Amino acid sequence: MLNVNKSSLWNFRNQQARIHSTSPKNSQNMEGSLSPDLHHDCETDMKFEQRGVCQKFSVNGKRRKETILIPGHLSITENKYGEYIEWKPDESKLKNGNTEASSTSQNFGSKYGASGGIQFHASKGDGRVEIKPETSSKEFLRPIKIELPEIRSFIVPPKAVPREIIFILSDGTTLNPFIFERGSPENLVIALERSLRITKSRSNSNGLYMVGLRKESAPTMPPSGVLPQGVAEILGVLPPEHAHNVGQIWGFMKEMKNDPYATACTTLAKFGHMALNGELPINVFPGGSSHQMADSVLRNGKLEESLNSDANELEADYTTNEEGYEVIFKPEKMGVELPPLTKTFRGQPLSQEQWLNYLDRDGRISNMNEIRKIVFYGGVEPMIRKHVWPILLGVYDSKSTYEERQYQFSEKTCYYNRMKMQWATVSEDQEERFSPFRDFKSLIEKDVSRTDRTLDYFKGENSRGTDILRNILMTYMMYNFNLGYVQGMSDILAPILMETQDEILAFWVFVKFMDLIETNFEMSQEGMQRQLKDSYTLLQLVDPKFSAYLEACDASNMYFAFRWLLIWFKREFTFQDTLILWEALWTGLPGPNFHLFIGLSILEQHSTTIMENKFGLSEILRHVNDLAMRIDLELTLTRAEAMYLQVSPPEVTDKLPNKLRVILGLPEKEEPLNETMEIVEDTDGAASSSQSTPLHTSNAEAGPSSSSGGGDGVEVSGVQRSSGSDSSLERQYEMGVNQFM
Amino acid sequence: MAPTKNSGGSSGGNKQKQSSILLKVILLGDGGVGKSCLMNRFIQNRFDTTLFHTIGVEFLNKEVNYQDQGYTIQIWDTAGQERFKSLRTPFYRGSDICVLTFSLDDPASLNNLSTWQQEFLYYADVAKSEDFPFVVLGNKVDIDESQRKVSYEEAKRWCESNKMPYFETSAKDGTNVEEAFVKGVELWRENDLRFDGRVGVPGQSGAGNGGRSRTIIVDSTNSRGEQQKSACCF
Repeated sequence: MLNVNKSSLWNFRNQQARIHSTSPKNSQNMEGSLSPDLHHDCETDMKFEQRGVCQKFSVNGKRRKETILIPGHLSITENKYGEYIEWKPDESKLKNGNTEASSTSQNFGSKYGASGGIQFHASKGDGRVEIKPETSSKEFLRPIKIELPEIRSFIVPPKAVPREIIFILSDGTTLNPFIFERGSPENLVIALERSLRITKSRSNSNGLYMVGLRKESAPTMPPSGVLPQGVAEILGVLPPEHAHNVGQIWGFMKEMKNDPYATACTTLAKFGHMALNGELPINVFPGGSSHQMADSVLRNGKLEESLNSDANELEADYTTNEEGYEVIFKPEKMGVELPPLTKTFRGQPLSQEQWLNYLDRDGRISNMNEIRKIVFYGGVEPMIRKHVWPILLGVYDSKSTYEERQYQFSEKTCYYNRMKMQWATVSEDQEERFSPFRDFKSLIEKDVSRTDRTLDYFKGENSRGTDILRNILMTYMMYNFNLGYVQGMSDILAPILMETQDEILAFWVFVKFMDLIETNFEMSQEGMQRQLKDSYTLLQLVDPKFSAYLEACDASNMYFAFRWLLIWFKREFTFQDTLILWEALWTGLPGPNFHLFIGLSILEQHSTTIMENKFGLSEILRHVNDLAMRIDLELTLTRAEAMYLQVSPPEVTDKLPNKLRVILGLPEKEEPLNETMEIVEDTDGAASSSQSTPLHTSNAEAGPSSSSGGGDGVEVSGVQRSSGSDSSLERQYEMGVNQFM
Repeated sequence: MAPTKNSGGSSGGNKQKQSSILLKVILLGDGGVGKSCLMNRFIQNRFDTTLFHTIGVEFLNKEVNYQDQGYTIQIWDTAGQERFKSLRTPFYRGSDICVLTFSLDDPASLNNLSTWQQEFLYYADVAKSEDFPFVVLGNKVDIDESQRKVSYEEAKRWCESNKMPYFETSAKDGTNVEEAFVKGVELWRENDLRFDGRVGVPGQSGAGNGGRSRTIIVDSTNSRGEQQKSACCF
């Protein structure tokens, strides 16, 4: 009965053939039309056009983040299928090099110099490189065409110079920023307003604008017996034109059946949003057909009670401000007032001169804590990383002399070579009967050819870098066969190797780094689960509203942050930023689990965008994946530190329940404080506390008086392993903060 | 019916977006068989030799028309290594199509297909597992004959015994990639037509009635509680 004719009917809907990329770095946010225009014959109406609008790409440069600006023009077009926003690269500029572009350089001031049609611009204002359009930049030249209703929101950063606009699409995709060399985003917004209903974000500070379809008449009273349009849209996941159909209800009912709790939470949360946005008659619950609908839904199944209580709770948690549309999940239950965020600053990297001053005649480090502080605030100058890292990570004791380190290195070299020989001499015949080895080896082979291949060091067939990467991973497999090789390790190793360019040193630094994050890679994945859970617990403390939102989206498992935590944000930042971040985290300052605060800090920068866009589970994942290479490291680090300081004062920690105290490395209190603060339902919290217990006991044993324990040679206090010196480190650190402020 | 390619809604001033059916497609298979490359070939029609291996979960969308119905094909790509199972399996829920992938130069990856199928069926919580649309892809058909370790017959045998269509694909040169995904949609449609009743809206099936009313049965986009369509809030 079904006549399938794929060849003629499988058409790409070109007018919507946008592409989204969630994978970072490798496929740098390519957007554009794919297939040949099937609708070239239809008339296109140009409703707005602005020349001199560049698309901005952020890429992993040799030493730092580089920005590529592709000049082009932005337009709003209409054909009989719909209205579109389009961006096309300006071919003529690309061919003619720097003629036109240079004339625009004054607009950019010193920040953006002109060096040709395509500009490389390094974030620190130097290292500009001109690239030849015809070679490497092909991928940057894809045009973009987006149907207007696909736009969910956009951001016009108020302070950005030159002006820019960033579009967020309905599926959560974030497009690259468009930089206005000429004209302004405002003109574009005015043009968009002819077709779209644009409202400024409630928070008002971040330049976020919400987009809705411009409707001829807003839905007021629903026809009798049917749902208001908006309700239908949320309930049945249905387009408005079908809102009158009863069929939509079934989708919702079915969801209720399959996952009643999440469905109810989400839907009720959405009701709240809609109601408070004025998109919905606010009395949708109290009366009329929609009430019956909600009622029948609640009765459907055995969950009446829980859902009713949920509804009550939600009602209680919603409140409105003067403007009447702020949605707040009241943080009442927390019972912990956090002090305001303090201003924190970044510093200069540890310089060679400073480093040498800390070394005595024999090479001993005089004050490791000071070095840690400097590194925490500013990282390490690249040329001395080879010397600083091994000490920071504990490859060598900081009290060792040059001579001792030299001797240890020769020993480590022998050890390394011995382990290397072990795997190198396994014959194919042996492999046949050595399946764990064979499997690890095979996966290493596959992954080294998929790790940072865009960077020169790992570029090309059988590059030297890739060979060494393989050698070290194979050797590590022999060093720690219990773990073997797990995906993500190559990401951890690559930056270390590229920076040191020394196989043996890189191996031992890698070993020490792996010691810190080993549980990330364990078979049970308990370590990852615990960190995701701890992240959510912390989020409940620092941002109860957003944590409630995530819960309503069924996203409280924080799985979208998995990649962040597994490889310590390596794919989210450029190469150099990653190293600066890792150096900060390697110091163990300001205290245990600071890396979780990095994630919180990034989330905090985007929570408004996520909530106001009403992103659901998959859109949050998409949005978070899209953040790769677009995150400001300095902002992230300073915010993370400020958040850490916010929760660390004794007057705060005294009130924290044990599960939070444990995350912060504090001893558990005798009397549980769960009554004053309910954080998460503690159904499977056992893993969390049992795993973290050693941390607090060691702290308790060490006691606050052991401040000298924070001396040199102390192991880096990492993720799960916190030594007894944490408290002293923390004090040291606080002193440091005072000095720095 | 006029072969219109219209997907832009009713003609006239109102340019409201016409809904397309969202199909969630899960790509599964051992690490390194080419899942991400297949996804990128299908979505972006490109092959990137510098692609990273996937950590966590990613997805990409593509709008296509098939038999005058717009679809948003949403491909979910996951990390293949065994130990990341706990992370990837929650995302199986709500899938409409499952694409099982192995590599023609890796016999073990073919042997593991059963495991992948079982893992999927277990966590996706599908109603009628025997009717669920699976498609099997033997990827890397572009390799030299000398490197090829899995014969067509061998793979075909497995697929036939499991009643799954089999395609030998190359993400590198694009061979059969689109065809394989089309097949998945076809299977989904057949399945959907046969078991329309599962949505509880009788009389809405039948591909001929303009396609639009069928859209109502978006159950598949979203039948198992994902919040993917909050876009509809607007």
